[in-house]
Amino acid sequence: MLRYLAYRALISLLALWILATASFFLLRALPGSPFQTEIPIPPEIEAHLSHYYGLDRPLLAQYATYLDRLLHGDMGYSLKYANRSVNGIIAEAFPVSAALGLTAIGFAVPVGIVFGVVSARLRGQAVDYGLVALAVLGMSVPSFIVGAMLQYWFGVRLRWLPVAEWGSPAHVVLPAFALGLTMIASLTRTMRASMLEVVEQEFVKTARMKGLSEWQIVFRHELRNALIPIVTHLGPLVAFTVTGSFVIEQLFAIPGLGRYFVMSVTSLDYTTAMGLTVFLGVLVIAFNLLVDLAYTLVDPRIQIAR
Amino acid sequence: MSYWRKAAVTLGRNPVAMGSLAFIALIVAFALVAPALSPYRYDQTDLLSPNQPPSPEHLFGTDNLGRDLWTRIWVGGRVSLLVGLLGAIVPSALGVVVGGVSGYMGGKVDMVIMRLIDVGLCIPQLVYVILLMIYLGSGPFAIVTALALTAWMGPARTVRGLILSLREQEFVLAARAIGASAWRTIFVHLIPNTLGIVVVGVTMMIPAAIFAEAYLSFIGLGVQPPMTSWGQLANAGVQTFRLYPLQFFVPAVFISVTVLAFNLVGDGLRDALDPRLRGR
Repeated sequence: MLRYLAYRALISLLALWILATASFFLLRALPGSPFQTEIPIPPEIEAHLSHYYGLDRPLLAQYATYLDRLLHGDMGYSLKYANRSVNGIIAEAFPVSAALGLTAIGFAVPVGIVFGVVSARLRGQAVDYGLVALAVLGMSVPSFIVGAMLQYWFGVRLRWLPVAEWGSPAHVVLPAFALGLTMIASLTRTMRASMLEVVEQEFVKTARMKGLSEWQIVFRHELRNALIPIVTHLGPLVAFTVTGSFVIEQLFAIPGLGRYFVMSVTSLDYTTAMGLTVFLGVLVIAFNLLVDLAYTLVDPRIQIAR
Repeated sequence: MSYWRKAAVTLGRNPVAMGSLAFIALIVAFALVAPALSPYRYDQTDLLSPNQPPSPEHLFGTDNLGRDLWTRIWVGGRVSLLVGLLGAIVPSALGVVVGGVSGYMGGKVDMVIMRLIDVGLCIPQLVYVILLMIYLGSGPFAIVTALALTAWMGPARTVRGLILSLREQEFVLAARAIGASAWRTIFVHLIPNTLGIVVVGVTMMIPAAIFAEAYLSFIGLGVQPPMTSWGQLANAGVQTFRLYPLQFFVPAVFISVTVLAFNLVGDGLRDALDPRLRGR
């Protein structure tokens, strides 16, 4: 167990280092300068700015400084937003993205589980067909299309909720729903398949023979076992929330990490782009590690690498 | 009956999968032929008739520069479908080769490759793809390249697992005994036996590749106008959709229905080709 943990931790650190290095060299290999805007600036000023941010030093020296600072948790200053540190941008944008992502996950997970269980219990009936069809449909419509449709109907036509931007709880509803719908779809399918597998197991027959009520069978015996695959599903779910936020935050004009990430990458704001890449990487990798651990805790039968 | 014949029969009896397959064939046929039959070019602007509603001249209306949306949808469909197909086939092929070699060789080679994949799979794919896209530039082939460089790891892991169990079987021993080289054993004897599951994997990856193209174009990193794709059309449509919702809805429906069809074919193929699920 300890060996497995050490291995996972090592793999995670390596992944982070690769991500940090790849983002540094890929971004720096691009033509163009972060200081050029629509109005051309004189070369002297650009040279001065480059010097100010240390961009005129040899690339490897810059890389060493970057890694050194990163290890101390300092991600430097944005090249686009004057006097804003990348740490400051993250401190501001992370709560926004977290609120959005957690709302989406928070309603998608229970709904997906309930749909999956209902669908499996009523296998072959109209409700099952309906839910399965809904799940396939939900996995086929990209979240930004769901988001735009919601904006159109509930924002523009019905005027029930704000079309875009951020600030009040009402602003969270539509984007969280758009992000959550795909999750509900995939969770429904996983949960349904998992329940159908558990139902065929011997211990369910035993429980039924003992004369337990259907409720007890479902909640005490089937659900507890069927939920295990859902735990492994949570890792990809967080990764999905992070990458899904790139489009959803863009569409709803939400000042979160995803929007900053896309903006910084397209505007060659090296420091912000690298910092956000690493931060999102840490988030996803740490969560995957946690899920792996939780997996072994939830099911004592699983023992990875004794 | 052979494995593939049996699979074809199972698939043929699945009306949902067959219907979806027919629908995809129809979409592909239109994407190939419709632009040539249209009196307009996809990039031909007509500034005197922008944002037209659908009419007999312009079946889907025109965009803000007066370009015919019917033509643009089908030209965009070519790009989206091409990215979908190549974006699934190229990484899978790469994965099959890496996974095949890794599984057959075993030992250190296998260890190194598998640890690399462990590391690589920690990071969400879209993050790599976005960073690579900036470097590779925009356009359909940049997207396929970015997908090829990032999406091979999943298939490689699957194929390696299959090869590990296959290589212990007697036909491999027989092949080795008659003197087949390692190369021949992998590519002639082992990999063909994994193809069923690989084909299912490719079909499941097509929606992901179409999504990736749509996502990237939607955030402005993918296909750039005047060239177009369904993602780019959706991106353009969303800018004005309060006034002209149809310009967004049309590409949105095309993406969703096509991906739905691919998903349904994938489900049908999985039932037909994956022996582990046979008879369930």
